[in-house]
Amino acid sequence: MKKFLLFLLIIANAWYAVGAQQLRSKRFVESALSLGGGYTHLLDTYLSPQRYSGGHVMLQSERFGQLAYENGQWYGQSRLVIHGDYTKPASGSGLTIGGMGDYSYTCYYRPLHTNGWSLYMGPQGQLRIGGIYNLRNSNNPAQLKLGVNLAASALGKYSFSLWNTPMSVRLQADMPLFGFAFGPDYGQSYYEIFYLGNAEGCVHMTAPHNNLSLRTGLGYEVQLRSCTMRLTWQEDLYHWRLGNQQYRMLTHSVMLGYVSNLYHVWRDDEARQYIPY
Amino acid sequence: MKNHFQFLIFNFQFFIALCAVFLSSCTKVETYEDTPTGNFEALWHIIDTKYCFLDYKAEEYGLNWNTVYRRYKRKIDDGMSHAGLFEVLGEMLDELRDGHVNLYAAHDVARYWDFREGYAANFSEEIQARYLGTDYKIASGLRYTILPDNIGYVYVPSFSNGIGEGNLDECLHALALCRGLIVDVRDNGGGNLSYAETLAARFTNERVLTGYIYHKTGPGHTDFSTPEPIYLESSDRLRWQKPVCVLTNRSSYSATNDFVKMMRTLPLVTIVGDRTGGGSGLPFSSELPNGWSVRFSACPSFDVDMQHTEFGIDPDVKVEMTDEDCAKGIDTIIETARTLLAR
Repeated sequence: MKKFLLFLLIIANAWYAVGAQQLRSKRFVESALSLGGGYTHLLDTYLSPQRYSGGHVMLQSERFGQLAYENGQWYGQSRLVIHGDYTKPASGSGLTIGGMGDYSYTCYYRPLHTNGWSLYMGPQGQLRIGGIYNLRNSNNPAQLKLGVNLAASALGKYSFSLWNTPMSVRLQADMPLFGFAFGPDYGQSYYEIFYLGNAEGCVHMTAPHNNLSLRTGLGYEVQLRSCTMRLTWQEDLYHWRLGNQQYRMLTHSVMLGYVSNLYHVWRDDEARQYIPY
Repeated sequence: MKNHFQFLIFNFQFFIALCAVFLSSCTKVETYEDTPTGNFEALWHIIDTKYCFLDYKAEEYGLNWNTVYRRYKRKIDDGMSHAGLFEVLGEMLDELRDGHVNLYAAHDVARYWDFREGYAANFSEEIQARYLGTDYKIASGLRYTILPDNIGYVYVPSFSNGIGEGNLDECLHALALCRGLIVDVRDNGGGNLSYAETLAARFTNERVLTGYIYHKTGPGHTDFSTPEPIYLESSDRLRWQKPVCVLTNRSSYSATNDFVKMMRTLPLVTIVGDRTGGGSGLPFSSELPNGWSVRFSACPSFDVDMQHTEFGIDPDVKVEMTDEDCAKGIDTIIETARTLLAR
C-alpha cells in the first residue's frame, strides 16, 4: 500500500512538474478537459472469442505546451484518459463492463510548422490500468489490464479556418517500443495467479509486434469570450497480444471539452501561432 | 479548401497504412457465422484449442477429437432447429465424459452426469436427518452436531456457501471435546476452491504438499506450462488434532474432489465411502455466435503423486450403504466411520 501511495505521489508530482516547468518558461500552455461518449468494439479472447460492441463514456484531461528548450521547438503533452464501457456480443446474450485509465506523457519535437501544418515527434511514457468483467463467465470472469511502456509518438495537425471558425484535424499514433504488461497465460486462471501465487509468466515484455495503439481525431473549436469550447471526434485503437491471447479495443467518441490557456494569450496574434489545436 | 481535402486524404492514407501494419501483426482470430454449421465449428474449435484433457482422455478411453468432428459434422444441417442443434452439440460434448462441461441455452443445459447417475447414491437425506436430528447447529456452510458416542459430525453440503474462519472457530470449539470427527462431503457438488482449502487448513499443523496444477499455454493439445506445486498452509487459528473421517460418494465432485485430494495427504485423516466423482479441471467459460454459453475444463490439477483425479479418488475404506441398513434407517458409511474413530 505504501508503494502504491508513493507511486501515486510520483505521478501527481510529475503532473504538477509539467505545468510548473511550462509556467517557468512563460510560454503557451493549453489545458483541456473533455467529456464524451461513443461506440466501442471489443475483442478479448481470454473472455470470449466473440466480438463485443456497445457504448462508452470517456473523460479526457490534456495539457499541451511549449517546454523551455530549443526556442520553443519542444512541447510537452500530458494526457489522462478515463474510459468506461458496456458491451454486448451480436447475439445479445452476454455482457461485459470495462474501465481503463490511460496516462501518457510525451516530449514532442516539432520539426515542421508551416502554413497551418504541424508535425510533432517524440518519446512517450505510458501507463495503463484497467479491466473488463464478463458477467456470465465462471473462472475466467475478468481481465486485468496493466501496462507500462516507452513509446514513440507522432502527432500530425493541420489548422485552418472554415466559415471563419478555427478548426483542426489531427492524427496521433503511439507505437509502444518497449514495456511490460500484465496478462494471464492462454489458459491460466486468476485463482492460480492470485490465490496460489503462480504468477510466473504473467508479466510480458511488450514491443510493436504485440502492442500497438493509435489515436486519430478531428477537432472543431469555438471561442466564447476568453474561453474555448472544443468539439472532437476521436478514434482510439488499442491492441495487445499477450500469452497467445488477444485484446483489441476500437472506440469512436464524440467529446465536448473546455479549453483554457494559462496566460490567456488568445488575443495575442504572435502567440497564437503556437496554439497547438 | 483544396489543401484541406489533400490533408484529409493524407491523414486517411496514413491511418490505413498504420492499420495495415497493425492488422498484419495480429494472430488470426477465427470467426464463425451464426448458423448451425458455424456454431458447431465454433464449439468444436473452442474445445479443440482450450479443453485441457484431450490427450489424457485419448489415453484413458481413446477419445479422438478429430474423429468426433467428422462424426458429428454429418449430423449438422443448416436447416435444423435450435433444439436439434442443441441436442447434437450436447451429444458431442458428452464424448468428453466431463461433468464440468456444459452447454447453456435459454431452454436447457446440456450436462454429463454419468459420473454419479450410473452409481449407487450412498447418501440419503432422510437417513442423515436421523443423525443430525433437529437441533443441529448451522455455521454458514457447515451443519454440525455431536453424535451419542461423542463423535463430532459436520456436514458440508456445498463449497459454494462461504465458510469463514469465524465459522470454523465456533464449530471446532463446540466439537473440541469429541474423540473424533466426521466430515461428510457426500452429495457436495463443489463450489469455491478457497473454501475447501480454508476448511482443510484446520486439519494440519504444517505446510503440506497436496498436488500440482498447470495450465494451457497455447492452442495445441500438449501446450502446457510446467506443473506448479500446491501447498496446503496450516491455519494459524484453532486446529483439529484428533482422528478424522471424510465421507465421500460419487457426487463428491469438483472442489469437493479437491478437498478430498488435500485431506488424504494428512496423517490423521481416513477417507471413507465411495470413490469421488472427480472433476479436477478448473472450468472456464466461452460462448458461441448464437449466444449459447459453454463451460469446459481448462486447467488440470494432479494429486501429490502427479496422477490425474479427473475420474475420481478412491477412498481408504470403501463402504457402500446396504439396503438392509437403509431399511433400518442406518447410514452404513457413517457407522463405519464411527467404528473407525472409536478404535
